[in-house]
Amino acid sequence: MLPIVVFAIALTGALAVNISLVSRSRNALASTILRNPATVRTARFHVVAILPDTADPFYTHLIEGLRGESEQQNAALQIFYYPSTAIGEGGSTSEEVSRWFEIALRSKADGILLFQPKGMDVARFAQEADSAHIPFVPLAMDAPQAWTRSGVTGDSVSQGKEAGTLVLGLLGSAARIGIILSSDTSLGYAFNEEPFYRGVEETLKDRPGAVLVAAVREEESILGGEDACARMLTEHPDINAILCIDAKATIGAAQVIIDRGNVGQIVIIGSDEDSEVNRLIEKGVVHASIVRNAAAMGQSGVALAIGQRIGLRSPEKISVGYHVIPTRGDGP
Amino acid sequence: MIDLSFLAHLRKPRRRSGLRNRIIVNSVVILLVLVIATSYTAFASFDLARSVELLFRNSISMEELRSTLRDTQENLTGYLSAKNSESLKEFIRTSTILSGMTSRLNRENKVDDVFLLEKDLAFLLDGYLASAEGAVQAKRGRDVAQYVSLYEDARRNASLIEFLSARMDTIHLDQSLKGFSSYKANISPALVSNGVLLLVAFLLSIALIGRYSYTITEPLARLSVAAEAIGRGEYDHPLPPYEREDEIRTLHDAFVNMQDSIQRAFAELTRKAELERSLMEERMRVLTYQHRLKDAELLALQTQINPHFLYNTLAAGWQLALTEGNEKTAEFLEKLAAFIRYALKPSTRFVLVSEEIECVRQYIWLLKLRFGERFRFRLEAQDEALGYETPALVLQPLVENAIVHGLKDLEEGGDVIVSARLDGETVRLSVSDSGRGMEKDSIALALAAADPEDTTPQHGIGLHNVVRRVALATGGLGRVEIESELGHGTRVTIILQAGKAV
Repeated sequence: MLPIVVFAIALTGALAVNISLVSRSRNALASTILRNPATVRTARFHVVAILPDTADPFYTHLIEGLRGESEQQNAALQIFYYPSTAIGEGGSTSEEVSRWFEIALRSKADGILLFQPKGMDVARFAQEADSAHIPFVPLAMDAPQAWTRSGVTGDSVSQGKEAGTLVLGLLGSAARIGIILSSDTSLGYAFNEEPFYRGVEETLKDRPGAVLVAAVREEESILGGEDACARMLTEHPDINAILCIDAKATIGAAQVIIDRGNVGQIVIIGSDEDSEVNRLIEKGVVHASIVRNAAAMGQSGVALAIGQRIGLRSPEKISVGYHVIPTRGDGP
Repeated sequence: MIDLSFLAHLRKPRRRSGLRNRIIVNSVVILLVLVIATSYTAFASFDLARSVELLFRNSISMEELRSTLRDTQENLTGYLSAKNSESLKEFIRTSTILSGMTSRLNRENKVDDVFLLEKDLAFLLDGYLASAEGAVQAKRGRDVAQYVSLYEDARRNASLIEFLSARMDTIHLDQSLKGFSSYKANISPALVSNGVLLLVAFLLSIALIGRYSYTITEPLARLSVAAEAIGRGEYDHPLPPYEREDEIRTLHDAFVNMQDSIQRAFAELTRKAELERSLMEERMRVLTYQHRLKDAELLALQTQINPHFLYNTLAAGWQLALTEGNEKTAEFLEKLAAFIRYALKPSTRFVLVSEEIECVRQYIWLLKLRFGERFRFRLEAQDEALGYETPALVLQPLVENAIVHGLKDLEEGGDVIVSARLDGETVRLSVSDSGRGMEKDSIALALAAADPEDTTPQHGIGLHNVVRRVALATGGLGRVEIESELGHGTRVTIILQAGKAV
């Protein structure tokens, strides 16, 4: 009798596993190719976001914010990606971005959000959107000068101030600072005109002795942060603090510090967060990270577009803040 | 009158079908599990086939759309550049087809990338068709600036449609690849679990077959052994109890009932055989009695005087006494002749108790004539007993015995009591005397005469004869009892089964 009971239980279990696996297989098809339009939710609004195709955690958080707010606003979010490498140099307009924008315009979306590509002038897009009576909300790390009416941006000056303050708090007048800036030169800033640089520079005015030794731009490549950091430390071996503009630069700088055996000797103040940045902070390699609120940028952008669509809001400029993830270490 | 015949079927013995039901249920369950698993896998395969078909159909549809768009654009260009009516006709045809294709596209804000792309495409196609038709109308109206502008707009739309549809193809493929990858990731273990399912079902089937084979064959084997034992004559061969309520229980119960029936039948046969053997012995004993009786009668005949001569002589004496006027003598001869006539008849016959009493009464009359008042006689006969049968001439020898042996030594007096009474199912005839009594050995010797084999010489011939004749005549059913006390007398009682004369 016992073997029969065991076999019966095994049979039932195998059947359940089988049904579960086959159901998951069927669901995989049903949720993609075989999905039924009747089962897909219909939203009130159609919002198009045109974003660079990159794995930078900033954009990951930005998309999370866009999706979250779209759901809140009962909007169907459509994201068009443009490759970050396809940007024309010298302020020319990307053909692909223009194409996506035109498609969004002609498909009568209820709002268009565009993360300003490097070297791209969004003023023309704003005019076209206005003509089509479609709310247009540009997104950017820092507000371009051309923006006159509406947009959601970060605040790199404040970010730079925060980074400088953190370093001075640790090293005081002995601080020898190096900065790794973004590879994006679309705004046409020189090193000393970059908002982040200016923010850092401003904090040093009140602390004689502390010196901003060097500033470099990270490379476009995946290992661009490492290259820039290694180059800077080779040229300026007296640097004891590195301030990074984004996560890629942070991770690259940390890797260089680890490889050179300078952990604990050189303070790294990073930017943004992802699992790797968090791990480096946990390990004490990175002292702190100034996290730009990308999700809030996405949320604000969608809310502003829908608000304009239904006539509750007017075009406005919004600057999202940041927060700091502190380390437990005390620095060198 | 209420017809209760419909209740008849309720009394029918319940058919046991538990074993069959269990086998069927278990088989059905296993098959059901396999059917479910196979069906599910078949559905998944069907979905996969449908997905592939849909993927190709989407690609084909998209290619058809692009092709139609190109044709429409070509016809539009042809018409606008040459105002060719053939081109216009073709433009109208292809734009109608394109419009039909456009109408099938999603236009709602579905929260799904592909549906939103469809919506984009639909609006782009709407815009294209509007611009193209507007351009044709402007061409007809010779508004050059307008048709050039609209044509450019249509061309731009067509370019975007081409771009978007190509992207949609890519997205379709990308989504399909994701779907197929996920499908494959899950279906591979599903196939393994299918194999496990089949293996377990196979093992379960084997286990069930084994179990039911044992369940069926083991009790049948025990029944077979029991049947062989019965064949050898071991009708009480023990059969272990069978508790399950199934068809084998029916067989088992039927076999046990058959075994019980056979045992009862054989017991009955044995009992009958024993009874027949007893009857045969009884018959043999009766035949022996009859044989002895015949011998005794033959002996009696040899020793008898001619009864007719004696009776006729006495009758002649009775007439002579009447002629001479001697009435006392005549009466004596009359009673003597009657007594002798009764006594000389075959002693093996049965007579009524009343006849036997009458014979004794005549004999006592004769004795009183001889002995006067020396002995006192008393006859006590119940009327109820008179109608029953008794062997003839059993009381007179006992009376004679009482006078000759019991009372002979008394100088005077002596009582003889003769009685006949009905005692339940028996008739009791007795003769008592107040004489000297009998020794125990004498009593035993006398009663031994009841045994047909007994050949012991007797002193009291009369008592011996009575005991032997009662035993022979009744086939051993009648008997004689003797109660005696030395110096106080003897009572001899004949006990007979009460039987009425026919």
